[in-house]
Amino acid sequence: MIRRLAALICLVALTVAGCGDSTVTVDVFAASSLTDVFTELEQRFEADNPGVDIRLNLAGSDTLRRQINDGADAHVFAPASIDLFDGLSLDGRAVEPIPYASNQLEIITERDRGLASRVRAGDLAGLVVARCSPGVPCGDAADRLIESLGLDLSDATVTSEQNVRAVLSKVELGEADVGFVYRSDVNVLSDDVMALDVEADSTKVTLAIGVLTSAGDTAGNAAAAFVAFVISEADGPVFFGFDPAP
Amino acid sequence: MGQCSSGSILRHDGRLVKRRTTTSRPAPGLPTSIIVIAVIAIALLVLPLVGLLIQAPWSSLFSLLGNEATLTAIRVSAVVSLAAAALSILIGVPLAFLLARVEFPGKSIIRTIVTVPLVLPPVVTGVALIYGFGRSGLLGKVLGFGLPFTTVGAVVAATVVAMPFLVLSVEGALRSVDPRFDQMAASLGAGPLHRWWHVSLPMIRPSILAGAVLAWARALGEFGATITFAGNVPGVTRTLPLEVSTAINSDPDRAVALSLLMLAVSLAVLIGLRDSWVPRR
Repeated sequence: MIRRLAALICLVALTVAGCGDSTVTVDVFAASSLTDVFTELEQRFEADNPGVDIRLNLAGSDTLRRQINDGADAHVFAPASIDLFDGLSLDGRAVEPIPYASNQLEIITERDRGLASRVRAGDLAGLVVARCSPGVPCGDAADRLIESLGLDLSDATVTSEQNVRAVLSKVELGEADVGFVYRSDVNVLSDDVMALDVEADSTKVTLAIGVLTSAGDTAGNAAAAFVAFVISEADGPVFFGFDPAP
Repeated sequence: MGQCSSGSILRHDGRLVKRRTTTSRPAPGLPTSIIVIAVIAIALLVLPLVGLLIQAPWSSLFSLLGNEATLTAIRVSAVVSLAAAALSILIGVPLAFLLARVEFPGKSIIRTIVTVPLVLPPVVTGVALIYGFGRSGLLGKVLGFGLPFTTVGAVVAATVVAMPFLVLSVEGALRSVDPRFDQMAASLGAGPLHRWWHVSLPMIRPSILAGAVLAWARALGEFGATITFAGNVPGVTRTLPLEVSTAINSDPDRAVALSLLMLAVSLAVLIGLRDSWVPRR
């Protein structure tokens, strides 16, 4: 009985430790808005670098920052806005965020409900509006969007979602009438949902990426290589919908 | 239901009774290694709570809890959890009777479906609710409106997740009730509804109450199904757990204060359960 228990514990330990192979794991904390981009970049990078396992942790940027500040062992931080590097506490380690792309907000709505003209006129009374929570980059950008377009949300039902993908799904599922998402998210929309092509420069965010581990060890080197790979792909097709960094 | 707190057991009829303990010393022959593992289990449960208490902004606790957003969330939570508990009693008790007293084809499937929300991730329950009661869901298409982003939607999400606690508690109690009381009442000429209301129901009142309290506590803590199905609308569907999740990144002190509030309520429920249902001797 004891021996079986011990064998079980060893088995679990081995599974967690990756069965003792020599793969280097790089933990990349990336914003929800980068889900598709980074998933594709992960696959391509791992195909080119068989000894490296990129492990993505995808969530709202402010959640990721809190996790890092609470001691999560992230090698790479890729939030939706460079502003999130402020307030990052890493016990004295210096991080140099590298800007590589920019993004801005877009308004989406269901195609066949004729809401586009109403929303363009700023009339949102009685509608369900999905936005990111304040504090997440897309939430702060949503505040700027509402202000710069003069949208009146006083008679709308406004739901604050934890990240941009939750906003997207609320509109995709037909439960929210209007959503504020990134222009890059429009790529993954279904045909039922349309973008209004608003030009709101005030909502521009600069994306930046940074290596959090000190260079020198294998994980640090692999992390730096992945960051260089992301930056080199920034003007490629995988970043369709993003703009160049300012 | 198993043990609720050390020294007392939640019986299947919903009563919490003091466990008869013969000695406070470890039972003879229990190996030290087992005790060590048990202590690890206790640490697993206790350490996070101690961390929360140490982290708590005690000096500013009341000003943090007096904040308008907090008070709004407390109000929404009170309304949603009490309504969910009431709805659970209203429809859950008849369901428990159906499961305990009536034989019908497919009963085992129905019983499984009743217990599914206990094990299903609440987020999945929330997604399922969207396809059922959302604007473009099964019922929503027929009705022409959906429940998401309404307080009713939050109540429905909480009820689906919480009601199984009540149904299982009541059904278990019904199984231990002697059916001859019902037969006797019938022989004295009482009609079915009269018997149900005046004979069957009073006999299981304690387990209905215990089940309702458990369902209420579960509804109060509900997060995943609510945020997925009912959204996070301040004053409408943003309950205390959603307020904690919204505040944790931007205002951690307030999140911790809110967590303490919820911890205090949970403890009050457990202590209340023990004190109200222990027969006074």
